[in-house]
Amino acid sequence: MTHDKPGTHETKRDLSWPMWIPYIILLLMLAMTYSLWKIAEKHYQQQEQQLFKTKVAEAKSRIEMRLHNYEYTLHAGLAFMNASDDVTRADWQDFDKTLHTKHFYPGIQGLGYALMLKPAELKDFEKKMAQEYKGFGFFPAGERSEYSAIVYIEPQDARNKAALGYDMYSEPTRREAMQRARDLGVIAVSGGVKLVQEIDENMQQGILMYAPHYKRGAQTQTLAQRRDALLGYVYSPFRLKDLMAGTLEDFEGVDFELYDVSDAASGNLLYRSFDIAKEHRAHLRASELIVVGGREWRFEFRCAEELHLQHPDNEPLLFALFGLIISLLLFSFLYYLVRSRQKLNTINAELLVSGLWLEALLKSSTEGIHVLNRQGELVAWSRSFLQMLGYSESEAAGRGIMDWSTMHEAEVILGNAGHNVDEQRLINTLYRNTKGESIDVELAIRAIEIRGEHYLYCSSRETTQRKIELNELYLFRELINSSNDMIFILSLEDGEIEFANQAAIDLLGYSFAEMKAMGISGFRRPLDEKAHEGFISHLQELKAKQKMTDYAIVTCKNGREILIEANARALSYEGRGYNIAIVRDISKRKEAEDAILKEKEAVKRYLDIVDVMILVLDKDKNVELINRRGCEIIGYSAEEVIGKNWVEHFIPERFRQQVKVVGSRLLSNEKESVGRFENPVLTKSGEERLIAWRNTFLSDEKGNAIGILTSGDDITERKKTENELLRLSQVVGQNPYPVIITDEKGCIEYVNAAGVEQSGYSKEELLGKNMNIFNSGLHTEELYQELWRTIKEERSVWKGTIVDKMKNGELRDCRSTIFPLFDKKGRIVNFVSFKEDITERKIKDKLFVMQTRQAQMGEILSMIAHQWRQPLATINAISGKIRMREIFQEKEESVLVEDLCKIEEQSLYLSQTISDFRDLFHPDRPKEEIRLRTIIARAADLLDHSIKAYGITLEQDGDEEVRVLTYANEVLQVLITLIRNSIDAFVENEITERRISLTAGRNEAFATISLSDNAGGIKAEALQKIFLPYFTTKAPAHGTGLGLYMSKMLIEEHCEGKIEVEVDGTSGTVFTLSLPLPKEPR
Amino acid sequence: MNFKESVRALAEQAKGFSVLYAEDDRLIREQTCDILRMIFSGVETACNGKEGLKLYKKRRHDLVISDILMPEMNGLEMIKEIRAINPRQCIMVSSACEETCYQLQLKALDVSHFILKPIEIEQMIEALHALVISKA
Repeated sequence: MTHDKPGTHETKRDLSWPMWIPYIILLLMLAMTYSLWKIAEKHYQQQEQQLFKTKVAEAKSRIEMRLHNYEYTLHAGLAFMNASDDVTRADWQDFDKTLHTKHFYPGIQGLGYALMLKPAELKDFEKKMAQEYKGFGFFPAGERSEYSAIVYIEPQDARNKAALGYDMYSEPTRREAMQRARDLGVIAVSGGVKLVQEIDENMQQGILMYAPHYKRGAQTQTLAQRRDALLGYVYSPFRLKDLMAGTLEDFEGVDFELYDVSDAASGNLLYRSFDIAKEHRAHLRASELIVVGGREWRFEFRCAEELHLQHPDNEPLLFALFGLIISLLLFSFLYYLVRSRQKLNTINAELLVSGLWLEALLKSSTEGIHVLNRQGELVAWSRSFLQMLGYSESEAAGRGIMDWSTMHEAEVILGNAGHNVDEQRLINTLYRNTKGESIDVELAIRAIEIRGEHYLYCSSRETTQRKIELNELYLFRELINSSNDMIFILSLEDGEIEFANQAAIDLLGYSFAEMKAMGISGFRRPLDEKAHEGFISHLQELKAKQKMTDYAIVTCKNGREILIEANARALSYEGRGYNIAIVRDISKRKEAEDAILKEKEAVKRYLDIVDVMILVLDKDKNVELINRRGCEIIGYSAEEVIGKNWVEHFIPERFRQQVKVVGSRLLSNEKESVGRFENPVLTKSGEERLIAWRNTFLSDEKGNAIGILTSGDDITERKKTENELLRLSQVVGQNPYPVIITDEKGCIEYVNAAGVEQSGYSKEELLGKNMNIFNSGLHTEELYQELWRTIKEERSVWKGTIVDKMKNGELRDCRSTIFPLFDKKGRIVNFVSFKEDITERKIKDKLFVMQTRQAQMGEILSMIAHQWRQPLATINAISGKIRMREIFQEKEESVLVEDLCKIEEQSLYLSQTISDFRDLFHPDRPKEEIRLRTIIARAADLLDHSIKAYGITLEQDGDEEVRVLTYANEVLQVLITLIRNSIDAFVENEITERRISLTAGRNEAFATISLSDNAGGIKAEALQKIFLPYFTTKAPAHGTGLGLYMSKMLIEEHCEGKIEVEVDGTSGTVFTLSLPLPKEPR
Repeated sequence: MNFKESVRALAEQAKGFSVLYAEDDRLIREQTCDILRMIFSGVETACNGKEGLKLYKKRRHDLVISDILMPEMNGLEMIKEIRAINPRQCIMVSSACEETCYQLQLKALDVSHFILKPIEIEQMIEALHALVISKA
């Protein structure tokens, strides 16, 4: 049966295509080619037409342009003639040279001037010219009503010389143009003429262009005036061929004919640009009209051959040809394809028949026939081959030689491919069936070649079963001999050695023969020396048990003794009993076990040298192991501890429950929560040590918890230190006085809560900032230098009071203590600042000082008063005495008496003033009930001098009767402070009209004194701060910033009143003192 | 009544009056004494309370004028003693001290007339006038 089965499913598909397909395709292709051709052709024609139109337009515009230029030339000539009354020939020659007519206006034959003559003038003219110009002759002769004569013509070449003296009026075509020019006053062009200049063979058509020259200044509005004023003509002859060639030089692509339309008589054709003999049939033509000098010229344009050549018509034809070839090629290809498909169909049918034959052949063959290709793939096979290997029909496809042969064998078999085709070879090899069994086969191989491909035709036959058995035996012997274990076969009856493997011989050193001679007991002895019942009894035991393991010592030939383990088995075969023993050298294993034991010791030693306590507890928390450190900590020896319950014996009672819970949770695998734990242990001396434990549970190989392994660190001391540290940090942190720690540069690293509160900054704002954030600017640079020198260079403590600026701008007195901290090497690492806010205290101190000073002053004033009173009293007494004497002596001198009265008055005033001041500073005056107006009056009295000196109007106003119960002197002092502030403000703000008014009043709860001034007021931002200590708006030399602060203290703290301030409009300030009213008598 | 008239009137009425004047300051004492002598015929002076009291016991003056603060015995003590001798004695105090405590003590000693030093002569004449009238 073949793998590739032609005709089974492929035959059902008809491979042939109908014959009409190629023809249809050919027709379609031809149609397409034709339309392509047509489209290309049309495209080219359009392009050509476009080009032709462009060329025509250009040619026309060039000619027009050129003719215009000629007209300008004539105008230039006219202008020249008009510019001078007497134009000589030389002038005309210069003029022509200046114009460069030949150069700038190619085609122009010359530039000339023709003079008009009456018949009467002719004779004189001829005479005059003959004198001037040698060889001048007037022609043609004859009697005419008017004459003209060419007098100047430039350049003077041979052609132009021929024209000199010619009367152009004599010829009708010229005359017509000249008369038209004269009558219309414009430039006129003549019809085609033969120019007088045509003196040689090369004759051309010519034209002439005339510009009429009128008398200078003559009227030329009407026809008659123009005719009358005519003097001559500036004119130019043109040879048309030269003109056109010059104009259309290097212009290609169009040919044309030029007709003069206005003059049918003169034969029309003026110029033809092409040779009529070589004329081709031009398919593009165009007609254009232009008007030149009053004449209509028609150009008949036609495309020249050059234009045609630029776009050859055969290009579309080439397209068509190419399309045709492609179509034919495609047709022939398709034709042959269809034909070959039909042929294939026929062959397929034939193949089907031969395939059926082959299939039948393979089915019936008993030989294991299989055909392989070069790669060893199975191509065809007989049913018996599959049976031999055990494949089913469906499994066969896709198999190859590697499925049943080894790599080596396959190479040998496949090596036969490509040999002589007729030679048959026989090979014995092994095949493997589907069960993996090897089958001995004899192969008859024949190389075959089908269509160049090489195949192997193999016919296989299975050989005998015996071979397998022999093999097996051989393998078993090898196996036994290659075993590392010693294998013995002994007779079960007498213990005689029947077999010993190679390992036994190698290990023991005896040859098999030697062993057989010695018998098993010759080198084996049991472990237990006493059990020496002999080997026979051992065999009998085996016979009974059939299978046993025992240990013994064997002695090698070299005397070495080996510990062995023997696995013996009783076996009976063909009536005889055997003992098969597999004997293993276990000396090595013993050594390994010893090594483990040693390692265990080593581990124990490791445990002993570590500095943590290591403890192993079993499930019931009995101690299984404790290391040296553990013993040290608890003070017991290992023997005393091991086996005892840990919790019951070594944990203080109050912790036992907790420790038990931890242990149980650990054993139930909740180790995350209890991996670390702290609890104290009880030592032998009864003291407690705090231990930090790290716990883990021990498990058996199945993962069940069997105990706890824990290591403990004695942290009793560390804990103490920690607690102390904590306490110290709390001392700093909760210190009611600010503590700031900075680095060695003064940047803040730590600030406690009090520091944050006092400064008004948040902690975040302060950290990392320099201490100069607090700089108030009130201190001198020296103070800071001194500070730094003390703490940095002297490394000692600096103490002093610094005014610090807080976040809200408030200035506070801080008693500061600053000192450095050192590291172990003695370098400064930090500075610590203690800052106590002593602003209030300091101010109180100041108040106290002030009050003390006032008391002293009071006393001094008291003394002064007393001391001064006596002289004053004396003065008064003397004065009084004199006045009395005057009275009694009856000789009054009124002037003297008056003066004496004044002296008395002054001394009384002096005395009163001293009393007033003494009273003001009188300490510890009790509260008194007093009229507000009295206080106001006193204030006014005390400051009377200043008020007058500064030119201030002081008004006293308000309720006369209001009384207060207060310390009058203190209220007075406050009033004085306020009035002084007003005075300062008047001066500073340069107020000229100064007014202070003091008004007494009352409301429900208080008696009030308000002081208002017009001293300029207080700025809004300052208004809120004026009662703060150290705040002043005055220059440093003038104000301490304490006056109003103290006033507030005096009124609010001491007198239990209130002091308030408001701004009165823009110009003034109002301070209001509210003071308690006296208690109403019941 | 102007000052001149009242002085004359007083001098008229006070003829024959004896006066004790106690004052520790010599200058004041001399000058004031001169004034008093212009009005009264018998004027004796003492430089402290003790001396004053001694003189008073001898002569029992019609009018006693005293300072308060004086060495040895002050004015108040002296007045106390005098009151013990004659509760109806006419007394005037002239002092530089105007403290209330003195005022209260003076009231207790029934001293109705007080003039402040330095003495205003008009005030003194007025006070003396009142005393002389009450005595008469």
